[in-house]
Amino acid sequence: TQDGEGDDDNEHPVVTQQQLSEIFDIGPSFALPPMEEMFYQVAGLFSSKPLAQSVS
Amino acid sequence: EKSLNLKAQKAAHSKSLIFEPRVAASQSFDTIYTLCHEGFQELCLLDGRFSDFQRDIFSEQSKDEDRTQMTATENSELDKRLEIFLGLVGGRLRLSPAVKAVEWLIRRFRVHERNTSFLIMTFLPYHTLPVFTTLLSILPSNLPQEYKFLHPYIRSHTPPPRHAIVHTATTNPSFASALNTYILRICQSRQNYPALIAFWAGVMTEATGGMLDKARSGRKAVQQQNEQDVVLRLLPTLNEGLAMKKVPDLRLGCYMLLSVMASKGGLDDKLLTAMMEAVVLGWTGETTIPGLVCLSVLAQHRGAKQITKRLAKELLKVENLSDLLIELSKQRRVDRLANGLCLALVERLRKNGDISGLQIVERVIGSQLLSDPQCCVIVKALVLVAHQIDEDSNPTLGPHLASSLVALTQLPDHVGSVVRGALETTEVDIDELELKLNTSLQRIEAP
Repeated sequence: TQDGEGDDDNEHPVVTQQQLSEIFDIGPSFALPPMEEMFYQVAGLFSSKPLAQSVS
Repeated sequence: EKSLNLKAQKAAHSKSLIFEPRVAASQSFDTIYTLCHEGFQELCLLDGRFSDFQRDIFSEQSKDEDRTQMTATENSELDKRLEIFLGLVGGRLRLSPAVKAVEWLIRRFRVHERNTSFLIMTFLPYHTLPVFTTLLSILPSNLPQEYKFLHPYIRSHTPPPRHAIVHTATTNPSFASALNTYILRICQSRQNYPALIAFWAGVMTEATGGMLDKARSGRKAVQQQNEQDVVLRLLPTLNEGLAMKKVPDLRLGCYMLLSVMASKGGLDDKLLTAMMEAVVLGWTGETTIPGLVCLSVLAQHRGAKQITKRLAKELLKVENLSDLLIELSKQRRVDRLANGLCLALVERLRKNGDISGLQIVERVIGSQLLSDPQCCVIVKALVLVAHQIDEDSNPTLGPHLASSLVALTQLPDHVGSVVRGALETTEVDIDELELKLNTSLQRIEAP
């Protein structure tokens, strides 16, 4: 890739429609969790895993 | 002929959310009004904004208002009032007073025939409930194109499942557009309620993912065109949604769509940059942390380069920015965002002698938010700034930079050795620099 970081090809997780449905298709609209919670779940699917050194 | 006409009138009058057609057909407007007005009064107790409608669509005179006798202008004025009422009652449709009040709009003002689209959208978040199936049963047979997917459910008297709605939003741009327009309009007039935004955000997030997945099939050139079409269709909604500061939930929904688009849309850096700016420009205390998460997702798809001045300026306003980034880095990669930010901060340092970001750079490196190559680039950039300092014009910059560079070279473990390694490979003469900064940067490698 452009910036010469070798791990970039694997850094973007592939997210399926099924995974997205599992966040939203869990009950009627009026019984869904708060938006902030659902946003973090969505962002969690699309976020790359943390860099190894940051976890320690 | 007269009897046929009467029969048709009677059939039309029998459409009701509450009563069996046979019962409804025989009801007078006096009877209906009495019952519906009761519901309306209860709504007024729940939310003062309803009271406004006592003077028109729920007034005594409304009993005698016949739309067929009104002019086009009168009808369109009435449409506005009816839709404002529907928008407001949307959040209450699980309560029977609300259904009673809507009954009046159906019986007297025929909203199911004349405001079909708005009425369907108002009820759609409740598609799993019997009241929605009842609504389907009284809709006219010639539905607007974007609602034709409801026909099988109208015939079978069953509620449409969520996936059918998601599928329609994915494959039918006019339905997606109607849904987006509806949500923006409701939020503009502050009639939004949590279930509506959650419904929209969920359906549109899934649909956007589906549209972009679909766009990816086929030849590369066609793919790009398709992806671009999907993105262009959604941008106006995002722009408007992100500009609305007072509806945090809508903003969060936009963040969801942005995350999907950045990840599946193959967006170019220019668009990603514009989106990142849109995220920070309208955020508020409530949406800053999710906004940072969204930025980190967007940044990971952007080239490894400096964030814009505007973006850096807004980020510097965030209290405890480095703490927040460190916290977020435990769950996800934030390196591209952190790297772009550090590059911008070093640039501010070089250009304006602005040291306000120096501490952030130090913490980002010290907390290992960056990959090794990113860390090297930042350290070298700092060294270069130090080398270029003009002591006459900015006497305080040198000591600050010197102390930062010293602190960085003294970092323990892996990151410390990366910093020291970067110093060794820089083209700047370190001996000369140490003399200039009046400090010692070259330290013996820690064991």
